[in-house]
Amino acid sequence: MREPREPARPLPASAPAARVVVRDLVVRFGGTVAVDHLDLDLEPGSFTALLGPSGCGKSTTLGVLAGLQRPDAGSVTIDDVAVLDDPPERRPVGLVLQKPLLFPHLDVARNVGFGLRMAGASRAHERAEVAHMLRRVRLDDLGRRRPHELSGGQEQRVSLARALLRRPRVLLLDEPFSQLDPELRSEMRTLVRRLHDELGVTTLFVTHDRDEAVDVADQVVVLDRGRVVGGGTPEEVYTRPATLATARYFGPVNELSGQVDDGRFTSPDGTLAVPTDAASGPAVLVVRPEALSLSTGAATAHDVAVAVKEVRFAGTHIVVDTALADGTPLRAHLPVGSPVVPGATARLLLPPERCHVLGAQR
Amino acid sequence: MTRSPWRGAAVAVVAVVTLLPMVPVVLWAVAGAWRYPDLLPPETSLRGLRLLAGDGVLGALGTSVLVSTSVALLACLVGLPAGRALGLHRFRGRRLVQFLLLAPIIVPPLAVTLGLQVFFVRYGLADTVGGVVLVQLVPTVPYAASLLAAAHADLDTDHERAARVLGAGPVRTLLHVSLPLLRPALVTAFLLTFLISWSEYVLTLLVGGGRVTTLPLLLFSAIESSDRTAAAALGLLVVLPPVLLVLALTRVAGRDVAWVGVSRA
Repeated sequence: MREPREPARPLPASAPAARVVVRDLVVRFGGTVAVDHLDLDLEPGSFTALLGPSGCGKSTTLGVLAGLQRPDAGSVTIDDVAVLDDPPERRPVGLVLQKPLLFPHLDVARNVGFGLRMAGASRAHERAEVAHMLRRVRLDDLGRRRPHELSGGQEQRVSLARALLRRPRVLLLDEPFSQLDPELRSEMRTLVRRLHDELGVTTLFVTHDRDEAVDVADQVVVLDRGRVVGGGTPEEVYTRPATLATARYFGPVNELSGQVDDGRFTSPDGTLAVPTDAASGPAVLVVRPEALSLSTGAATAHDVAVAVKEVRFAGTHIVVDTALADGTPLRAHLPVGSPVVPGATARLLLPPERCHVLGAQR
Repeated sequence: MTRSPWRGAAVAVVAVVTLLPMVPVVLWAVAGAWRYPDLLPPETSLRGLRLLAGDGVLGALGTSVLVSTSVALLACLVGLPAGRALGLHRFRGRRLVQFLLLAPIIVPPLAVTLGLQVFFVRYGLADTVGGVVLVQLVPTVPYAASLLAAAHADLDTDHERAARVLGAGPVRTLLHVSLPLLRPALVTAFLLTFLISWSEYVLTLLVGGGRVTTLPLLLFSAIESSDRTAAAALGLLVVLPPVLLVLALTRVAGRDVAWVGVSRA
């Protein structure tokens, strides 16, 4: 191989993680709005999952960050530098897509070293860095292999190594493991998380799989129809979602309509009273099925009388479908062997600290 | 692949059909006087082979190699962007462009060239090697463009995007990713256009005005003068370079060149 034509631009051994700020981003495809006035903040070194159903604009947002998609409006800055006018090759960004997109005419080592070669690194430097990176993704011995000789998981690890070798300051992952089988996926998540922790690169992980998002990320941003509908730590979006859409996206949730007055949520029949800081007015109380428990003592303001409709065994717990007097369904996950039988009545306890009240304006 | 007895038979048939017509050519090339009813030439002569060493023949061989190589390279160069546009993009008037691109090989090139010749004369391109190369692009570019359009339709352009994000600008992406991915089609297009140019006679004669002498021109004049020994010797010389080229490119491109797959049987 010839020497590179451009003078060597040495890359820093470990580039500092970058802060990414997206403001008021709009992307339209013809008449449809794919991304609708989106704001996004990625702290330096954070690991954020961009979560949402397919077609919610998450991949488009990623494409804008990587420079593969031009937005119609808005701004993107990486460490306070506006990057929207930069072509992809000039952005400090690494990208791994659903397809590994390895170059079929190059072996694994040459694939991984591609970014360094393009940056004008010397052959010796490239070889050393590639060997180091292949060890990090545990593919030490596969440098001479051709892409078509690899398994799906190996291909995706090569793709990851290739993206990271350039020492990007932002790593963008677009459903990178969705074509792998479940066991391999969790292994790959662990690998990505470990690489993130070692390299400290600001990471944005696009997925439609909430378990994946919760498992791997520090921060979750939920997208729906091109808008941010919720965000926070995985625990926050799960237990205290900002919107009903977010609550529903994170699995089965009970929804009780009611009224907030003076920092207190009350159900229409007045039996339930939960303190809240939501504004006064009509509101919805959301609570996860596993937060509920059977109430055995005297009636309080935190429990409700229900009619048990159906009981199903689910391995670690039983799923109990009940209804309030007004017909509102209420589902509880109770310990196996709990004394509930279909057709009977029971009292369910809604612990106030695990209830979350959403103002009705949402 | 399973080995079938039919495969051996097929290879044999192809070999016989390809090589049998060459036998009389070889015989003629080394024949002295050879008349009916002799089955084989009664005497051999080196006159035909000596003819090949003459000045005119070597010059024509050089001109042929120069012209055909240039035509093949230029046809691929022109066909690449055309093929990319046709293979990757769906634009208004695409079918019309596709038809216009193929028009030169649907309409007999002779008719096209008769019209073109006026311009070649006006711009001083007549009777020059450059003019001959240029006119031979007429029957070759359509093939190169069509082949490369088909190749682009199969090209995963996400590879190019991946290269861009990995720090390769547009030119380096083309050189390091797109061209290697298109290599099989490029090799095939080069071979095909080289072969078309190699046996081109009419266009060379019209625009070259007899001053640009390629091997086919010599061959035709030998046939016209009924000198069978000279024609046969020249015929062998005409066959040889393309065969060598095909063998060399198959070796280089390996299994990439699908349509000469017989040689790998």
